[in-house]
Amino acid sequence: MSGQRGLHIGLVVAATVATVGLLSGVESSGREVSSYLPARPAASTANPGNAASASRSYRDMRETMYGPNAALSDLWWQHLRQVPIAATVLAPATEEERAAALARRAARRAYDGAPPIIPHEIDQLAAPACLTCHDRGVSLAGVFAPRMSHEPRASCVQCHVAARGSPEGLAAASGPGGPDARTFAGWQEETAFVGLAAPLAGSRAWPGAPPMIPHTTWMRERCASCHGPAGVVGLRTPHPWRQSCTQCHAPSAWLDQRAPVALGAPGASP
Amino acid sequence: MERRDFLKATAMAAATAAAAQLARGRDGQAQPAAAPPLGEDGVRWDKAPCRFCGTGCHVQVGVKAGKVVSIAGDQRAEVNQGLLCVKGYHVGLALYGKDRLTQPLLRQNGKLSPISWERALDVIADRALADPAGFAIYGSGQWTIPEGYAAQKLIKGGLRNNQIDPNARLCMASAVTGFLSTYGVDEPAGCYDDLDHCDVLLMWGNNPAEMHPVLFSRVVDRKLRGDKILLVDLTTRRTRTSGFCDRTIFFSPQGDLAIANGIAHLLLEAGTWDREFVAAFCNFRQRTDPPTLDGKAMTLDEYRASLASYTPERVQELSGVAPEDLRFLAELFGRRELRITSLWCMGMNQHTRGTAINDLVHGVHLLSGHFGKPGDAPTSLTGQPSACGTVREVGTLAHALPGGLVVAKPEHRKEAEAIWNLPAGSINAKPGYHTVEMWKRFSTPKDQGGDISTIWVQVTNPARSLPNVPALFEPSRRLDGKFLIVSDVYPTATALAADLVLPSAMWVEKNGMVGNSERRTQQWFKMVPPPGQARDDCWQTLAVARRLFERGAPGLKDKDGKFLFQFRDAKGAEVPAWQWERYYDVNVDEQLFEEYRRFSRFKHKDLAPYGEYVKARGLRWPVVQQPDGSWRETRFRFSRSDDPYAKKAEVQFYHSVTKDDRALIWFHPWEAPPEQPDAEYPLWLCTGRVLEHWHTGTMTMRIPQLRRAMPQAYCELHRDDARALGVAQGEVVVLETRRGRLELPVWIDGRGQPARGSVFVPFFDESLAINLLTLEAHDPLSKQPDYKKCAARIRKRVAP
Repeated sequence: MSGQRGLHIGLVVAATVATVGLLSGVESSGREVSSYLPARPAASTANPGNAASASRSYRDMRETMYGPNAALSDLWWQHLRQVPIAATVLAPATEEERAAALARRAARRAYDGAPPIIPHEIDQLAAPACLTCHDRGVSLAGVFAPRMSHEPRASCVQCHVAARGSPEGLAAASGPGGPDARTFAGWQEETAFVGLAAPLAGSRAWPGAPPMIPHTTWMRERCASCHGPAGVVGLRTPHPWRQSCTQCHAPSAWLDQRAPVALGAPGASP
Repeated sequence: MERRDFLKATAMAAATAAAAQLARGRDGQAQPAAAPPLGEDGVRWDKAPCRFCGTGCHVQVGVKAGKVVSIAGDQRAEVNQGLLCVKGYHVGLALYGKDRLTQPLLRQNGKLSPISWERALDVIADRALADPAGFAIYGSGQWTIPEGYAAQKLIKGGLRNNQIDPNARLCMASAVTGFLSTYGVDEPAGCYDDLDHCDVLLMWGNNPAEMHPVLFSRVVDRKLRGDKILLVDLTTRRTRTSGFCDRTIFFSPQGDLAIANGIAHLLLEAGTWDREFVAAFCNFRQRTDPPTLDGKAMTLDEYRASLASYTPERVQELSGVAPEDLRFLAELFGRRELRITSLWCMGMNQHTRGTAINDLVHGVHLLSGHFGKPGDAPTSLTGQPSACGTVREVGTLAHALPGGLVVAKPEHRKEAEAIWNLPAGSINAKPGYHTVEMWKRFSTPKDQGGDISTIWVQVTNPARSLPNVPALFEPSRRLDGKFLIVSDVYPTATALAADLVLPSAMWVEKNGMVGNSERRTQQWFKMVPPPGQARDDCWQTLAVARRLFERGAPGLKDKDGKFLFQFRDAKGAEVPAWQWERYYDVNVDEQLFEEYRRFSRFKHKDLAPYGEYVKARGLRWPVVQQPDGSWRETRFRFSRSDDPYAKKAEVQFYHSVTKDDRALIWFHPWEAPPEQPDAEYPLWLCTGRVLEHWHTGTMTMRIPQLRRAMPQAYCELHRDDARALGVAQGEVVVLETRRGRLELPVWIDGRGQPARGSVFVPFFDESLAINLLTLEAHDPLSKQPDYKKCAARIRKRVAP
């Protein structure tokens, strides 16, 4: 238990240091607001009657796992070690591995290009600390927190929502507050929407030519997130030591919304 | 590919291309813009603004074989620059709930049964002809501009009873009265570019992290890039926005009036107000009794004296805000070199003193000169995609005409009669009923003053979004002689209670135009067919108008005896667009817009020709033609640096109430809200939205990813209040007000944290409808109700 708590504190400190590091050392705009910026976000303390308490009760701490990853297995913490990532030749993915990887991706998004849902619980209220794991990616004891595919943005939960219904525990509530009391049947039905499937391998000019990038690179500019050595088995590149991906693999101006409309799509009939 | 398959694919592609071209009309200026090409993956991408909120993000819609299959953020769009929120990414799924309405339904023997469109049109015409004065249209800030314009013309030019009002009355009417009383003309002077330039972002009772996420990201992503910006959250409950803010200042409900007065008081006391700006561009104003938008003049000394009692100590008593927090806010406004943007939305608008608080926030900006430079702006946000475009600009309100004109002014009626080719004196000078009044009269027997007998609802769900539903909506469903017509896409609570249900096309199933919060008018083309017999709302309005014309309703003729709505093909021949099979023979949107556009000149809200919007990702009005023939939009209104109509000085309020190019700085006193917690009902009840759902959830609750993330309504409770009541996380409690009761699970430390003594319930859940409990008390000028404050109590549920 104490080890867990220590780790929590460690992570919080690390996240805070990372955030502070990010914000310091920046040139001033000349219109200074720095003097007003506190070291960390602070609530008004002058009005305890109105100030909503942010602290948890001791009972909660004792009885429940704490924080957004509370639902993760204990093993997560007990096997705290980074799996070493070797930048060596990887065997090309098999068709089965690739199909499994695509199926896993598809299960977490409405269509190819939709932001994936979050498969674990999150803190619903605070500014998210998602980058602690997902900025660089973490692979621990079989638990894999993927590196995000786009450059960091501040409000992660704007696009990514938790898969499992919140409020936590409320799904079990019975009576009028529970899920059985629905008078609006349409909600319970699945959608008739069929999303665009992920593209398969990119086209090649001749056997042996580097494949084109078959998907947009918008919000997917960090190729290594999926295709790098710590990426998804089935989608990883066999040559992870090469860093400049678009030197050989061309993105599609059409898919990236860069093509002037007048030129049309390749092979298209307008 | 086999030759036969190839031929089939080619034929299909050609047919799809023809369908896509069809939406663009066979004539008119839009035609040169060919349908976008088909990709080799069979997907055709085209632009459309998102269907949901008032931000006005553009999406790229991927269509394959007649269905929407993908959505991408539009990188060419200035509003969102390629980014969307979770609702926007899933907007395409809103079309594909399995219970789409696909045929007209008439209540017969208590049951909704299918009928033909012809019969449905006759039923509506019968109702309108039987009681023309009691026939009302209740519309929406989700109407497209041509839809709203057609309904507006049918009511104000045709039936001439002025009984048309929109749900936007419930969402931004106080912002309108705030702009009118301060600047003499509606809509914000600033725009979203202010978010890129501000040093301080002050959010007044606003939670943009959930409600306008793309705009919020525009600011917090600046922070991530290293810009030093101060985010200040003025709020009654801790929200996701608070989590990103540098300073969160909690205030008690209604305390905003005292805070704004307190800031003004301190600016005057410290002498840090902007003397030059005020001397050059402002007048002072106070209220009259009864209140009007014009008020009466007051001097600076009178203004100062009125504010004298708003000392930090008194403000603390009224609002709960500590003196040092108030001094901090006044200090920010007192610093001339900072750029300060204020944002607000429902917190200030859904307020029984909504006009007053809007005026006061504009006043703080004007008094301190934080106005008219990029990043220095008081900016209200809207919650619906076309609350600005269709309601405020087309004027689909009981008192208004298009382009900022009003029915009460003879010279305005004359202009409208000229554009609509009506005989002089046709337009009724008496405003119709505002929303609350319209529904109150619909829910009252005719012999007791309930003179509204039929309401035709389009694109909204009043059975869940009106306040105090038990008083305003439900009685009408039990009264004889009251007839409810609902045009919608799903069986909403309103549709299920209706007498006649009309299936509608939605979003990219039809052509459309909307206008977002920053004066940006946007356009899209039909991309997929609507399901079954669902048809465009605009066609429905035209078809009913035509039916009335054919049956001799007097108002449906212009002064030459012709039908009010005329559509012509490229050769000038009349096209009967009111026949569904001919509706897309012309671009009806374009022709209605070109007519409507003539109104936009009166208040310098100039709109460009339709074809310009086809090319752009929206343009912000006034859009003025340049000597080289191109059209230029305006970002910063009233500023000489950008607005072509501001010529005299750095800032020119050219529609000033006082006709002297000056804006008005108002004084309004703090006043108590109409209902406050007492011994019997000791809690404050506040309502609002959540990130995942939009309005009453009729679209977003049918999108699995969004429904799973936020499956039901809940009651947010402070931990200490929960402990005092002895209720645990997730326990179902009974929440009651003087108007109704609702059983809801408790969520402690969930999406938000209310202050002690207050609860919050979101309104997206049609099954757990919080508006059974809310209060219909409204602002005296804007007539907008207050959904944010009423008295409630909670008790444990006794086990059944």
